[in-house]
Amino acid sequence: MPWNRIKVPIKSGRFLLQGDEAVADGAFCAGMRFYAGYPITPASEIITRVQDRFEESNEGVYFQGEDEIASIAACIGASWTGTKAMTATSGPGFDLMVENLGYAIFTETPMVIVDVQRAGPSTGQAARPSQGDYHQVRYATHGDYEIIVLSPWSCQELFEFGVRAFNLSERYRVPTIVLTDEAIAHLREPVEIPEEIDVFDREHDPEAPPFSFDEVDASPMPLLGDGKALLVTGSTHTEWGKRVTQDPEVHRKIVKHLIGKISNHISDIFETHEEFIEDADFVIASYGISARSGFEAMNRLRKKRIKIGFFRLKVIWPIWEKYIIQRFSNVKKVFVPEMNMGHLSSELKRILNCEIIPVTELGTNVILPEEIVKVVEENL
Amino acid sequence: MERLEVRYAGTGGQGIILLGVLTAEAVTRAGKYATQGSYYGAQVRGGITSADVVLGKEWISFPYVEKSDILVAFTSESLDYYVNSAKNGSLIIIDETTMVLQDEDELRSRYKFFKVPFTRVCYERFNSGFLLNIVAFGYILRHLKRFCSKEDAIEALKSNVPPKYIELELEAFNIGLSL
Repeated sequence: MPWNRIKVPIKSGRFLLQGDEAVADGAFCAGMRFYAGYPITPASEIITRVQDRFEESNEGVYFQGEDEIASIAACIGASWTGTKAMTATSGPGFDLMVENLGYAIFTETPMVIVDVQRAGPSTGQAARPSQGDYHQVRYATHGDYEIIVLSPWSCQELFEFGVRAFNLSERYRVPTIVLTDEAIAHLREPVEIPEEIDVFDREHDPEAPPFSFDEVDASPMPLLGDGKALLVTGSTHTEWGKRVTQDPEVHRKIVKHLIGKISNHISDIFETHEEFIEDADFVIASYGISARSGFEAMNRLRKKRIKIGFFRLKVIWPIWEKYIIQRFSNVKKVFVPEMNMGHLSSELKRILNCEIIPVTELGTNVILPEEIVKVVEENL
Repeated sequence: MERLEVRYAGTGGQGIILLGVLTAEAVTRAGKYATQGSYYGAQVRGGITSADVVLGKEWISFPYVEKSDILVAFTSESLDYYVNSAKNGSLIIIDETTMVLQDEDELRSRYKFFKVPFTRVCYERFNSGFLLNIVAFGYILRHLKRFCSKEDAIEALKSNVPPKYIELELEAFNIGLSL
């Protein structure tokens, strides 16, 4: 069976961990045994933690690429040998990875990318947080596709999402991104490492065609080293990987597969954290570090007897529109704190008919709860 | 919910972030909750550096300092930068050896204000300021009694410094305790 309950290969218990260390540990526990990356603030601590884990366990291969392009390419190669592979970077490095991210999506290569957001565009401010990559991780590469992006709000979730990202990636044969930010990745807080975790390992079938036109499910995966010729290409291809560059029907089928294998399982993938939504006139909706501010703001506003709820996206892509419409059916106004010009706000404006009020911060300071309280009180 | 917001502020190279980590680690070891965040520039030395530590008995929603209950400043520049985010009447501790203040009377009127000779005692014993942060760690414990014990702090110290320096570090820690 692809699902297995395993004992974690590190010491379980409660430890003070930095976010970057927690996501590296989560990935290691999920079975990540190949890491390629190029150091970049604020993601560099992930590399050093992975090195430590590989060295102390005498398992795994670490490779510092000459840049981010080489690093993600190495991960794709490693994944096709059946090894769980990960890279981590920040916005400037993610920019460089985009071409090969498209290749990984089209070749249905499981792998995990951690994007620790810092202020941009370009080099920006290396050690200051931002949430400006919200749409980049979804739409960076060209063409039609679905991708999975998780958004943790704590060091605990960085550990858990390190595991879950691999489970989703292996299950749906899609690169999966953990989108965090400097404010969480450099934060330290207590993390509970459980004794056991549930891990999904991809379905491996040496006889199966490497690709599929199935509109509902991902297909089993043969591997390099199985002893058969394996065609893997970024061009449009048949189920057996043969390049087909002028047939509209093949292209139509394969893109429908890339989208369908994820969109048909959105109820399994999409995950939220909700408080007091049932009777709320107002809701604070957010993700990542800004959701921590939003949660505290909600607590303070409820003490003042304001009927406000809290809605946090733990998975930001794919976004389950039907579910959101249903959950917000009685809500009058939604306040959306985020460290950008209003990315989630624009999504919610597209999906919902009620009033959406962005609470934005571009100055690289984490939004303070009191700032959200003030905006809510001014707009009741 | 009980919440204590501590901010250490100084300049790059003084060990400010390690001081924050040690505080959070001691409190975590005591079974309580601590979050620790940092602010620093791209340079290794210089610039304003600060470490936020928020302490609680259980999970902490907003993990950074909003208005500090305790501000420990090791440079005049960092004090100026952070003094306005200290709560009125809160505790402000500064290094009296290195900091020259223009407005000490005003600080005394608005805050519980203490001057501690962190750097001087470091030089007297070690002929160097490099254990400034550990002396400060020992000193600050008297204000964190609700969250951790001296033993928790020593365990935190042992797990965060190289074993070959531990005797020296413990000596600096004890100097801080006795100040």
